[in-house]
Amino acid sequence: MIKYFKMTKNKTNNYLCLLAGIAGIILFISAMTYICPKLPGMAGEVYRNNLNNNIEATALIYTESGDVYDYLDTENGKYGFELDMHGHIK
Amino acid sequence: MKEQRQSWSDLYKLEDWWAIWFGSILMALVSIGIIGNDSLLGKIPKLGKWTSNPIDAFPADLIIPLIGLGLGLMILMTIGVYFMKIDWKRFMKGFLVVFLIACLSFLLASQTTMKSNGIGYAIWALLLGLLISNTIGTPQWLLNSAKSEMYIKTGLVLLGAEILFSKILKLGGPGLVVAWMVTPTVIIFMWYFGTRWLKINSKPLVIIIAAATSVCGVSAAIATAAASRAKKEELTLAVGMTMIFTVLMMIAMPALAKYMGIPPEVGGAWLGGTIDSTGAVVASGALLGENAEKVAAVVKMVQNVLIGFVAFVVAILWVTKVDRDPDAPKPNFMEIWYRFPKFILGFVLASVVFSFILMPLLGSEQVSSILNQTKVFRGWFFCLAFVSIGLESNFKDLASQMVGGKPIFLYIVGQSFNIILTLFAAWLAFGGILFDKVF
Repeated sequence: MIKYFKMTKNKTNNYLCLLAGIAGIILFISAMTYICPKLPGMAGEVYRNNLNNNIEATALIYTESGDVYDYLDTENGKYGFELDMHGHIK
Repeated sequence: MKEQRQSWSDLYKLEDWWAIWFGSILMALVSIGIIGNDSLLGKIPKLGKWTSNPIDAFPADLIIPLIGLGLGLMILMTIGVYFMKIDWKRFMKGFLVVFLIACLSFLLASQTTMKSNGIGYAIWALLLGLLISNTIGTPQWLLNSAKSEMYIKTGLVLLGAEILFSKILKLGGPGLVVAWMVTPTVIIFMWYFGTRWLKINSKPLVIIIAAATSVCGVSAAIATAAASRAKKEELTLAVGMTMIFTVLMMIAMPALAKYMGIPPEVGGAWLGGTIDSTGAVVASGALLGENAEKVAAVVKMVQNVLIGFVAFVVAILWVTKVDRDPDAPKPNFMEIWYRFPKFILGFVLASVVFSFILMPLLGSEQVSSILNQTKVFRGWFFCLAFVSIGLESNFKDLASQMVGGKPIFLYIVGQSFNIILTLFAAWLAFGGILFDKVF
Protein backbone atom coordinates (compact mmCIF):
# COMPACT_ATOMS: atom_id res chain seq x y z
CA MET A 1 0.00 0.00 0.00
CA ILE A 2 2.79 2.39 1.03
CA LYS A 3 4.78 1.35 -2.02
CA TYR A 4 1.77 2.02 -4.27
CA PHE A 5 1.22 5.37 -2.57
CA LYS A 6 4.89 6.31 -3.07
CA MET A 7 4.74 5.33 -6.74
CA THR A 8 1.57 7.35 -7.30
CA LYS A 9 3.10 10.32 -5.51
CA ASN A 10 6.21 10.06 -7.65
CA LYS A 11 4.14 9.90 -10.82
CA THR A 12 2.08 12.89 -9.73
CA ASN A 13 5.27 14.83 -9.03
CA ASN A 14 6.60 14.00 -12.48
CA TYR A 15 3.40 15.20 -14.15
CA LEU A 16 3.51 18.36 -12.04
CA CYS A 17 7.08 18.98 -13.24
CA LEU A 18 5.94 18.52 -16.84
CA LEU A 19 3.11 21.02 -16.30
CA ALA A 20 5.53 23.45 -14.65
CA GLY A 21 7.82 23.14 -17.69
CA ILE A 22 4.96 23.89 -20.09
CA ALA A 23 3.91 26.85 -17.93
CA GLY A 24 7.53 28.06 -17.98
CA ILE A 25 7.59 27.98 -21.80
CA ILE A 26 4.34 29.96 -22.02
CA LEU A 27 5.63 32.45 -19.45
CA PHE A 28 8.93 32.86 -21.33
CA ILE A 29 7.20 33.59 -24.65
CA SER A 30 4.75 36.02 -22.99
CA ALA A 31 7.55 37.85 -21.15
CA MET A 32 9.69 38.12 -24.31
CA THR A 33 6.71 39.42 -26.30
CA TYR A 34 6.13 42.08 -23.67
CA ILE A 35 9.78 43.06 -23.14
CA CYS A 36 11.32 42.90 -26.65
CA PRO A 37 9.49 45.87 -28.25
CA LYS A 38 10.74 47.98 -25.33
CA LEU A 39 14.37 46.86 -25.42
CA PRO A 40 16.85 49.74 -25.53
CA GLY A 41 20.12 49.91 -27.47
CA MET A 42 21.41 47.57 -30.15
CA ALA A 43 19.39 44.58 -28.92
CA GLY A 44 16.16 46.52 -29.41
CA GLU A 45 17.33 47.85 -32.76
CA VAL A 46 18.10 44.32 -34.00
CA TYR A 47 14.72 43.06 -32.80
CA ARG A 48 12.71 45.90 -34.35
CA ASN A 49 14.66 45.75 -37.61
CA ASN A 50 14.04 42.02 -37.89
CA LEU A 51 10.38 42.47 -37.15
CA ASN A 52 9.80 45.44 -39.46
CA ASN A 53 11.71 43.98 -42.39
CA ASN A 54 10.38 40.49 -41.87
CA ILE A 55 13.86 39.03 -41.56
CA GLU A 56 13.72 35.51 -40.22
CA ALA A 57 16.68 35.89 -37.93
CA THR A 58 16.36 32.43 -36.55
CA ALA A 59 19.79 31.40 -35.42
CA LEU A 60 19.15 27.98 -36.81
CA ILE A 61 19.34 25.66 -39.72
CA TYR A 62 15.93 26.76 -40.91
CA THR A 63 17.42 29.67 -42.81
CA GLU A 64 21.01 28.63 -43.01
CA SER A 65 21.04 27.51 -46.56
CA GLY A 66 17.44 28.11 -47.38
CA ASP A 67 15.23 31.10 -47.04
CA VAL A 68 17.83 33.82 -47.49
CA TYR A 69 18.42 32.61 -51.02
CA ASP A 70 14.99 33.96 -51.93
CA TYR A 71 15.83 37.12 -50.09
CA LEU A 72 19.01 37.64 -52.08
CA ASP A 73 17.88 36.15 -55.37
CA THR A 74 19.61 38.00 -58.19
CA GLU A 75 16.45 38.09 -60.31
CA ASN A 76 13.49 37.99 -58.00
CA GLY A 77 14.83 38.78 -54.54
CA LYS A 78 14.85 41.87 -52.43
CA TYR A 79 18.36 42.76 -53.50
CA GLY A 80 18.85 42.23 -57.20
CA PHE A 81 22.47 42.69 -58.13
CA GLU A 82 24.49 41.59 -61.11
CA LEU A 83 28.09 40.46 -61.36
CA ASP A 84 30.75 41.96 -63.60
CA MET A 85 33.12 39.85 -65.70
CA HIS A 86 35.38 39.32 -62.65
CA GLY A 87 32.52 37.96 -60.60
CA HIS A 88 32.28 41.12 -58.48
CA ILE A 89 29.02 42.86 -57.68
CA LYS A 90 28.41 45.60 -60.26
CA MET B 1 42.68 -7.03 -39.41
CA LYS B 2 39.05 -7.99 -39.09
CA GLU B 3 37.70 -8.70 -42.52
CA GLN B 4 34.72 -6.61 -43.43
CA ARG B 5 32.05 -8.28 -45.47
CA GLN B 6 29.73 -6.43 -47.73
CA SER B 7 26.83 -7.49 -49.82
CA TRP B 8 24.33 -5.93 -52.16
CA SER B 9 21.69 -6.42 -49.48
CA ASP B 10 23.33 -3.54 -47.57
CA LEU B 11 21.59 -1.30 -50.06
CA TYR B 12 18.23 -2.09 -48.53
CA LYS B 13 19.27 -3.17 -45.04
CA LEU B 14 21.43 -0.30 -43.78
CA GLU B 15 20.19 3.00 -42.41
CA ASP B 16 22.85 5.01 -44.30
CA TRP B 17 21.56 3.76 -47.64
CA TRP B 18 17.97 4.26 -46.62
CA ALA B 19 18.74 7.90 -45.80
CA ILE B 20 19.88 8.27 -49.41
CA TRP B 21 16.75 6.50 -50.73
CA PHE B 22 14.42 8.58 -48.54
CA GLY B 23 16.10 11.81 -49.62
CA SER B 24 16.18 10.77 -53.28
CA ILE B 25 12.52 9.73 -53.29
CA LEU B 26 11.44 13.05 -51.78
CA MET B 27 13.64 15.08 -54.14
CA ALA B 28 12.33 13.08 -57.09
CA LEU B 29 8.69 13.58 -56.02
CA VAL B 30 9.28 17.34 -55.89
CA SER B 31 11.36 17.46 -59.11
CA ILE B 32 8.79 15.60 -61.23
CA GLY B 33 5.99 17.77 -59.88
CA ILE B 34 4.08 15.33 -57.66
CA ILE B 35 4.78 17.55 -54.64
CA GLY B 36 4.97 21.34 -54.90
CA ASN B 37 3.00 24.37 -56.05
CA ASP B 38 0.03 23.47 -58.31
CA SER B 39 0.91 19.77 -58.15
CA LEU B 40 -0.96 16.56 -57.44
CA LEU B 41 -0.27 16.52 -53.69
CA GLY B 42 0.18 20.26 -53.18
CA LYS B 43 3.08 21.93 -51.45
CA ILE B 44 4.61 20.78 -48.19
CA PRO B 45 2.88 22.47 -45.27
CA LYS B 46 4.69 25.15 -43.30
CA LEU B 47 3.18 26.78 -40.24
CA GLY B 48 2.23 30.45 -40.44
CA LYS B 49 3.31 33.22 -38.07
CA TRP B 50 1.40 34.15 -34.94
CA THR B 51 1.76 36.78 -32.25
CA SER B 52 -0.74 36.15 -29.45
CA ASN B 53 -3.07 33.48 -30.78
CA PRO B 54 -1.39 30.17 -31.76
CA ILE B 55 -4.40 29.23 -33.93
CA ASP B 56 -3.26 31.93 -36.39
CA ALA B 57 -0.39 29.58 -37.31
CA PHE B 58 -2.91 27.09 -38.69
CA PRO B 59 -4.79 28.57 -41.63
CA ALA B 60 -7.84 26.49 -42.65
CA ASP B 61 -6.05 24.99 -45.65
CA LEU B 62 -3.11 23.74 -43.57
CA ILE B 63 -4.67 21.04 -41.38
CA ILE B 64 -5.28 18.38 -44.04
CA PRO B 65 -1.84 18.81 -45.70
CA LEU B 66 -0.26 18.60 -42.24
CA ILE B 67 -2.06 15.33 -41.47
CA GLY B 68 -1.13 14.13 -44.97
CA LEU B 69 2.53 14.98 -44.35
CA GLY B 70 2.57 13.11 -41.03
CA LEU B 71 0.96 10.02 -42.56
CA GLY B 72 3.07 10.22 -45.72
CA LEU B 73 6.35 10.41 -43.79
CA MET B 74 5.17 7.63 -41.51
CA ILE B 75 4.47 5.30 -44.45
CA LEU B 76 7.75 6.15 -46.20
CA MET B 77 9.83 5.70 -43.05
CA THR B 78 8.00 2.50 -42.10
CA ILE B 79 8.89 0.92 -45.44
CA GLY B 80 12.57 1.62 -44.71
CA VAL B 81 12.29 0.45 -41.12
CA TYR B 82 10.68 -2.82 -42.31
CA PHE B 83 13.62 -3.57 -44.63
CA MET B 84 16.11 -2.59 -41.92
CA LYS B 85 14.59 -5.43 -39.85
CA ILE B 86 13.40 -3.10 -37.11
CA ASP B 87 10.00 -3.76 -35.52
CA TRP B 88 7.93 -1.62 -37.91
CA LYS B 89 4.70 -1.94 -35.92
CA ARG B 90 6.36 -0.40 -32.86
CA PHE B 91 7.92 2.31 -35.02
CA MET B 92 4.53 3.24 -36.51
CA LYS B 93 2.92 3.35 -33.09
CA GLY B 94 5.00 6.27 -31.83
CA PHE B 95 5.86 8.11 -35.04
CA LEU B 96 2.78 10.32 -35.11
CA VAL B 97 3.48 11.45 -31.52
CA VAL B 98 7.06 12.40 -32.46
CA PHE B 99 5.61 14.23 -35.46
CA LEU B 100 3.09 15.99 -33.20
CA ILE B 101 5.89 17.22 -30.91
CA ALA B 102 7.73 18.44 -34.04
CA CYS B 103 4.57 20.38 -35.03
CA LEU B 104 4.50 21.92 -31.56
CA SER B 105 8.16 22.94 -31.91
CA PHE B 106 7.43 24.67 -35.22
CA LEU B 107 4.43 26.34 -33.61
CA LEU B 108 6.54 27.81 -30.80
CA ALA B 109 9.25 28.89 -33.27
CA SER B 110 6.74 30.63 -35.54
CA GLN B 111 5.71 33.10 -32.84
CA THR B 112 6.82 36.53 -34.12
CA THR B 113 8.95 37.50 -31.10
CA MET B 114 10.71 34.13 -31.11
CA LYS B 115 11.34 34.42 -34.85
CA SER B 116 12.72 37.94 -34.58
CA ASN B 117 15.02 36.90 -31.76
CA GLY B 118 16.42 33.89 -33.51
CA ILE B 119 14.86 31.28 -31.24
CA GLY B 120 13.90 28.66 -33.77
CA TYR B 121 12.47 25.16 -33.90
CA ALA B 122 15.62 23.19 -33.06
CA ILE B 123 15.83 24.63 -29.56
CA TRP B 124 12.10 24.05 -28.99
CA ALA B 125 12.29 20.50 -30.32
CA LEU B 126 15.19 19.71 -27.99
CA LEU B 127 13.50 21.42 -25.05
CA LEU B 128 10.16 19.65 -25.50
CA GLY B 129 11.87 16.28 -25.91
CA LEU B 130 14.04 16.89 -22.84
CA LEU B 131 11.04 18.09 -20.86
CA ILE B 132 9.21 14.83 -21.50
CA SER B 133 12.22 12.55 -20.93
CA ASN B 134 13.28 14.31 -17.71
CA THR B 135 9.87 14.54 -16.09
CA ILE B 136 7.46 11.70 -16.91
CA GLY B 137 10.15 9.76 -18.81
CA THR B 138 9.94 8.74 -22.46
CA PRO B 139 7.79 5.60 -22.74
CA GLN B 140 9.33 2.69 -24.64
CA TRP B 141 6.67 2.79 -27.38
CA LEU B 142 7.73 6.38 -28.13
CA LEU B 143 11.46 5.63 -27.99
CA ASN B 144 10.96 3.06 -30.77
CA SER B 145 10.10 5.94 -33.11
CA ALA B 146 12.80 8.31 -31.92
CA LYS B 147 15.22 7.38 -34.69
CA SER B 148 17.32 10.53 -34.48
CA GLU B 149 20.14 9.28 -36.71
CA MET B 150 17.80 8.17 -39.46
CA TYR B 151 16.09 11.59 -39.50
CA ILE B 152 19.42 13.48 -39.37
CA LYS B 153 20.94 11.50 -42.23
CA THR B 154 17.84 11.96 -44.40
CA GLY B 155 17.78 15.68 -43.62
CA LEU B 156 21.46 15.94 -44.55
CA VAL B 157 20.92 14.28 -47.93
CA LEU B 158 18.18 16.85 -48.59
CA LEU B 159 20.46 19.64 -47.37
CA GLY B 160 23.04 18.60 -49.97
CA ALA B 161 20.70 19.77 -52.74
CA GLU B 162 20.73 23.28 -51.28
CA ILE B 163 24.52 23.62 -51.43
CA LEU B 164 24.79 25.16 -54.88
CA PHE B 165 28.27 25.77 -56.22
CA SER B 166 27.04 28.68 -58.37
CA LYS B 167 26.73 30.71 -55.16
CA ILE B 168 30.52 30.63 -54.84
CA LEU B 169 30.88 32.95 -57.82
CA LYS B 170 28.72 35.69 -56.39
CA LEU B 171 31.53 37.58 -54.70
CA GLY B 172 34.46 36.16 -56.65
CA GLY B 173 37.94 36.33 -55.11
CA PRO B 174 37.19 38.55 -52.10
CA GLY B 175 34.36 36.27 -50.94
CA LEU B 176 36.54 33.18 -51.30
CA VAL B 177 39.39 34.75 -49.33
CA VAL B 178 37.13 35.47 -46.35
CA ALA B 179 34.99 32.35 -46.49
CA TRP B 180 37.43 29.69 -47.62
CA MET B 181 40.81 30.78 -46.24
CA VAL B 182 39.72 31.54 -42.71
CA THR B 183 37.33 28.61 -42.19
CA PRO B 184 39.84 25.71 -42.56
CA THR B 185 42.41 27.67 -40.52
CA VAL B 186 39.96 28.07 -37.65
CA ILE B 187 38.94 24.39 -37.79
CA ILE B 188 42.58 23.25 -37.65
CA PHE B 189 43.39 25.72 -34.85
CA MET B 190 40.39 24.59 -32.78
CA TRP B 191 41.15 20.93 -33.40
CA TYR B 192 44.68 21.25 -32.05
CA PHE B 193 43.62 23.58 -29.26
CA GLY B 194 40.84 21.20 -28.16
CA THR B 195 42.70 17.92 -28.44
CA ARG B 196 46.27 18.91 -27.52
CA TRP B 197 45.90 21.95 -25.25
CA LEU B 198 42.58 21.40 -23.51
CA LYS B 199 42.95 17.61 -23.83
CA ILE B 200 39.25 17.03 -24.43
CA ASN B 201 38.90 13.27 -24.67
CA SER B 202 36.03 13.22 -27.10
CA LYS B 203 37.41 14.04 -30.54
CA PRO B 204 33.94 14.12 -32.14
CA LEU B 205 32.94 16.83 -29.66
CA VAL B 206 35.98 18.93 -30.62
CA ILE B 207 35.37 18.63 -34.36
CA ILE B 208 31.63 19.38 -33.99
CA ILE B 209 32.34 22.57 -32.01
CA ALA B 210 35.11 23.56 -34.46
CA ALA B 211 32.86 23.05 -37.50
CA ALA B 212 29.90 24.81 -35.89
CA THR B 213 32.08 27.79 -34.97
CA SER B 214 33.83 28.19 -38.28
CA VAL B 215 31.37 27.04 -40.94
CA CYS B 216 27.72 27.66 -40.30
CA GLY B 217 26.48 26.65 -36.89
CA VAL B 218 23.84 24.01 -36.53
CA SER B 219 23.96 22.46 -40.03
CA ALA B 220 27.72 22.04 -39.82
CA ALA B 221 27.39 20.60 -36.31
CA ILE B 222 24.82 18.06 -37.54
CA ALA B 223 26.87 17.12 -40.60
CA THR B 224 30.15 16.64 -38.71
CA ALA B 225 28.40 14.85 -35.83
CA ALA B 226 26.98 12.34 -38.29
CA ALA B 227 30.30 12.02 -40.14
CA SER B 228 32.27 11.43 -36.91
CA ARG B 229 29.57 9.26 -35.33
CA ALA B 230 29.35 11.55 -32.31
CA LYS B 231 27.08 10.92 -29.32
CA LYS B 232 23.68 12.60 -29.25
CA GLU B 233 24.62 14.51 -26.11
CA GLU B 234 27.69 15.93 -27.84
CA LEU B 235 25.60 17.24 -30.71
CA THR B 236 23.03 18.67 -28.30
CA LEU B 237 25.76 20.50 -26.38
CA ALA B 238 27.33 21.95 -29.55
CA VAL B 239 23.96 23.00 -30.95
CA GLY B 240 22.90 24.63 -27.67
CA MET B 241 26.15 26.61 -27.37
CA THR B 242 26.04 27.67 -31.01
CA MET B 243 22.48 28.94 -30.73
CA ILE B 244 23.11 30.95 -27.58
CA PHE B 245 26.28 32.55 -28.93
CA THR B 246 24.69 33.24 -32.33
CA VAL B 247 21.94 35.30 -30.71
CA LEU B 248 24.54 37.19 -28.64
CA MET B 249 26.81 37.80 -31.63
CA MET B 250 23.89 38.91 -33.79
CA ILE B 251 23.50 41.83 -31.38
CA ALA B 252 27.10 42.49 -30.33
CA MET B 253 28.94 42.25 -33.65
CA PRO B 254 27.21 45.09 -35.55
CA ALA B 255 27.57 47.26 -32.46
CA LEU B 256 31.30 46.50 -32.37
CA ALA B 257 31.66 47.17 -36.12
CA LYS B 258 29.94 50.53 -35.71
CA TYR B 259 32.05 51.39 -32.66
CA MET B 260 35.27 50.54 -34.51
CA GLY B 261 34.18 52.57 -37.55
CA ILE B 262 34.72 49.68 -39.96
CA PRO B 263 33.66 50.39 -43.60
CA PRO B 264 30.29 48.72 -44.39
CA GLU B 265 31.55 46.12 -46.88
CA VAL B 266 34.46 45.10 -44.61
CA GLY B 267 32.01 44.97 -41.69
CA GLY B 268 29.56 42.90 -43.75
CA ALA B 269 32.26 40.40 -44.69
CA TRP B 270 33.34 40.27 -41.05
CA LEU B 271 29.83 39.47 -39.86
CA GLY B 272 29.25 37.00 -42.70
CA GLY B 273 32.44 35.12 -41.85
CA THR B 274 31.89 34.92 -38.11
CA ILE B 275 28.20 34.75 -37.15
CA ASP B 276 27.06 31.16 -37.27
CA SER B 277 23.74 31.22 -39.09
CA THR B 278 22.74 32.92 -42.32
CA GLY B 279 19.52 34.30 -40.90
CA ALA B 280 21.39 35.98 -38.07
CA VAL B 281 24.04 37.21 -40.52
CA VAL B 282 21.41 38.96 -42.64
CA ALA B 283 19.76 40.41 -39.55
CA SER B 284 22.98 41.86 -38.17
CA GLY B 285 24.37 42.93 -41.57
CA ALA B 286 21.20 44.96 -42.17
CA LEU B 287 22.20 47.19 -39.27
CA LEU B 288 25.36 48.26 -41.11
CA GLY B 289 23.49 49.18 -44.28
CA GLU B 290 22.36 47.62 -47.52
CA ASN B 291 25.83 47.00 -48.99
CA ALA B 292 27.03 45.40 -45.77
CA GLU B 293 23.96 43.18 -45.70
CA LYS B 294 24.57 41.96 -49.26
CA VAL B 295 28.24 41.20 -48.63
CA ALA B 296 27.49 39.56 -45.27
CA ALA B 297 24.85 37.22 -46.67
CA VAL B 298 26.84 36.26 -49.75
CA VAL B 299 30.04 35.58 -47.75
CA LYS B 300 27.94 33.33 -45.50
CA MET B 301 26.44 31.48 -48.44
CA VAL B 302 29.90 30.95 -49.96
CA GLN B 303 30.99 29.61 -46.57
CA ASN B 304 27.96 27.30 -46.37
CA VAL B 305 29.20 25.44 -49.44
CA LEU B 306 32.02 24.16 -47.23
CA ILE B 307 29.65 21.97 -45.17
CA GLY B 308 29.92 19.18 -47.74
CA PHE B 309 33.72 19.34 -47.94
CA VAL B 310 34.08 19.42 -44.16
CA ALA B 311 31.71 16.49 -43.64
CA PHE B 312 33.47 14.48 -46.35
CA VAL B 313 36.97 15.16 -44.98
CA VAL B 314 35.87 14.41 -41.40
CA ALA B 315 34.30 11.11 -42.48
CA ILE B 316 37.52 10.08 -44.29
CA LEU B 317 39.74 11.19 -41.38
CA TRP B 318 37.64 9.29 -38.87
CA VAL B 319 37.75 6.09 -40.88
CA THR B 320 41.45 6.26 -41.70
CA LYS B 321 42.96 7.86 -38.59
CA VAL B 322 40.85 8.85 -35.58
CA ASP B 323 38.71 5.70 -35.22
CA ARG B 324 41.45 3.34 -36.37
CA ASP B 325 43.32 1.03 -34.04
CA PRO B 326 46.86 2.55 -33.99
CA ASP B 327 48.43 -0.92 -34.09
CA ALA B 328 46.36 -2.04 -37.06
CA PRO B 329 47.82 -1.81 -40.57
CA LYS B 330 46.74 1.01 -42.86
CA PRO B 331 43.20 0.34 -44.08
CA ASN B 332 42.81 -0.53 -47.74
CA PHE B 333 40.29 1.09 -50.07
CA MET B 334 37.63 -1.55 -49.44
CA GLU B 335 37.83 -1.13 -45.68
CA ILE B 336 37.61 2.64 -46.01
CA TRP B 337 34.59 2.18 -48.26
CA TYR B 338 32.99 -0.25 -45.83
CA ARG B 339 33.34 2.05 -42.84
CA PHE B 340 32.64 5.29 -44.67
CA PRO B 341 29.23 6.77 -43.75
CA LYS B 342 27.40 6.32 -47.05
CA PHE B 343 24.83 9.05 -46.54
CA ILE B 344 27.68 11.59 -46.91
CA LEU B 345 27.90 10.39 -50.51
CA GLY B 346 24.18 11.13 -50.89
CA PHE B 347 24.78 14.59 -49.46
CA VAL B 348 27.66 15.35 -51.85
CA LEU B 349 25.90 13.73 -54.81
CA ALA B 350 22.74 15.79 -54.24
CA SER B 351 24.84 18.95 -54.25
CA VAL B 352 26.65 17.95 -57.46
CA VAL B 353 23.43 16.91 -59.25
CA PHE B 354 21.62 20.14 -58.37
CA SER B 355 24.65 22.37 -59.09
CA PHE B 356 25.92 20.84 -62.32
CA ILE B 357 23.00 18.94 -63.86
CA LEU B 358 19.68 20.41 -62.78
CA MET B 359 20.82 24.03 -62.64
CA PRO B 360 21.97 24.18 -66.31
CA LEU B 361 19.13 21.88 -67.39
CA LEU B 362 16.16 23.50 -65.63
CA GLY B 363 17.43 26.99 -64.89
CA SER B 364 17.74 28.78 -61.57
CA GLU B 365 14.04 29.62 -61.24
CA GLN B 366 12.88 26.01 -61.57
CA VAL B 367 15.66 24.76 -59.27
CA SER B 368 14.73 27.42 -56.70
CA SER B 369 11.11 26.27 -56.70
CA ILE B 370 12.24 22.64 -56.20
CA LEU B 371 14.56 23.67 -53.36
CA ASN B 372 11.79 25.71 -51.76
CA GLN B 373 9.98 22.41 -51.19
CA THR B 374 12.94 20.16 -50.35
CA LYS B 375 14.16 22.59 -47.70
CA VAL B 376 10.78 22.39 -45.95
CA PHE B 377 11.15 18.60 -45.95
CA ARG B 378 14.69 19.02 -44.59
CA GLY B 379 13.37 21.26 -41.83
CA TRP B 380 10.84 18.61 -40.83
CA PHE B 381 13.48 15.89 -40.72
CA PHE B 382 15.86 17.96 -38.60
CA CYS B 383 12.99 18.86 -36.31
CA LEU B 384 12.05 15.17 -35.92
CA ALA B 385 15.73 14.50 -35.19
CA PHE B 386 15.94 17.12 -32.45
CA VAL B 387 12.69 15.92 -30.86
CA SER B 388 14.13 12.38 -30.88
CA ILE B 389 17.45 13.51 -29.39
CA GLY B 390 15.55 15.29 -26.60
CA LEU B 391 13.39 12.22 -25.94
CA GLU B 392 16.47 10.00 -25.72
CA SER B 393 18.60 12.32 -23.54
CA ASN B 394 18.67 13.30 -19.92
CA PHE B 395 20.16 16.30 -18.17
CA LYS B 396 22.67 14.14 -16.30
CA ASP B 397 24.23 12.84 -19.53
CA LEU B 398 24.26 16.36 -20.95
CA ALA B 399 25.99 17.73 -17.87
CA SER B 400 28.62 14.99 -18.11
CA GLN B 401 29.64 16.37 -21.53
CA MET B 402 30.66 19.68 -20.00
CA VAL B 403 33.94 18.23 -18.60
CA GLY B 404 34.85 21.24 -16.44
CA GLY B 405 33.58 23.82 -18.92
CA LYS B 406 36.21 22.86 -21.52
CA PRO B 407 33.78 22.78 -24.48
CA ILE B 408 32.61 26.34 -23.72
CA PHE B 409 36.21 27.48 -23.33
CA LEU B 410 37.04 25.85 -26.68
CA TYR B 411 34.10 27.64 -28.32
CA ILE B 412 35.01 31.04 -26.86
CA VAL B 413 38.72 30.82 -27.73
CA GLY B 414 37.95 29.44 -31.21
CA GLN B 415 35.33 32.07 -31.91
CA SER B 416 37.66 34.86 -30.70
CA PHE B 417 40.38 33.58 -33.04
CA ASN B 418 37.78 33.41 -35.82
CA ILE B 419 36.68 36.99 -35.17
CA ILE B 420 40.23 38.39 -35.28
CA LEU B 421 41.32 36.37 -38.31
CA THR B 422 38.14 37.12 -40.25
CA LEU B 423 38.47 40.84 -39.58
CA PHE B 424 42.00 40.74 -40.99
CA ALA B 425 40.88 38.73 -44.04
CA ALA B 426 37.86 41.01 -44.57
CA TRP B 427 40.12 44.07 -44.48
CA LEU B 428 42.53 42.47 -47.00
CA ALA B 429 39.76 41.30 -49.34
CA PHE B 430 37.13 44.03 -49.08
CA GLY B 431 39.21 46.97 -47.89
CA GLY B 432 40.83 47.52 -51.30
CA ILE B 433 44.14 45.86 -50.35
CA LEU B 434 44.18 42.60 -52.35
CA PHE B 435 41.26 43.31 -54.69
CA ASP B 436 39.43 46.34 -56.06
CA LYS B 437 36.58 47.43 -53.80
CA VAL B 438 33.33 45.66 -54.70
CA PHE B 439 31.17 48.78 -54.33
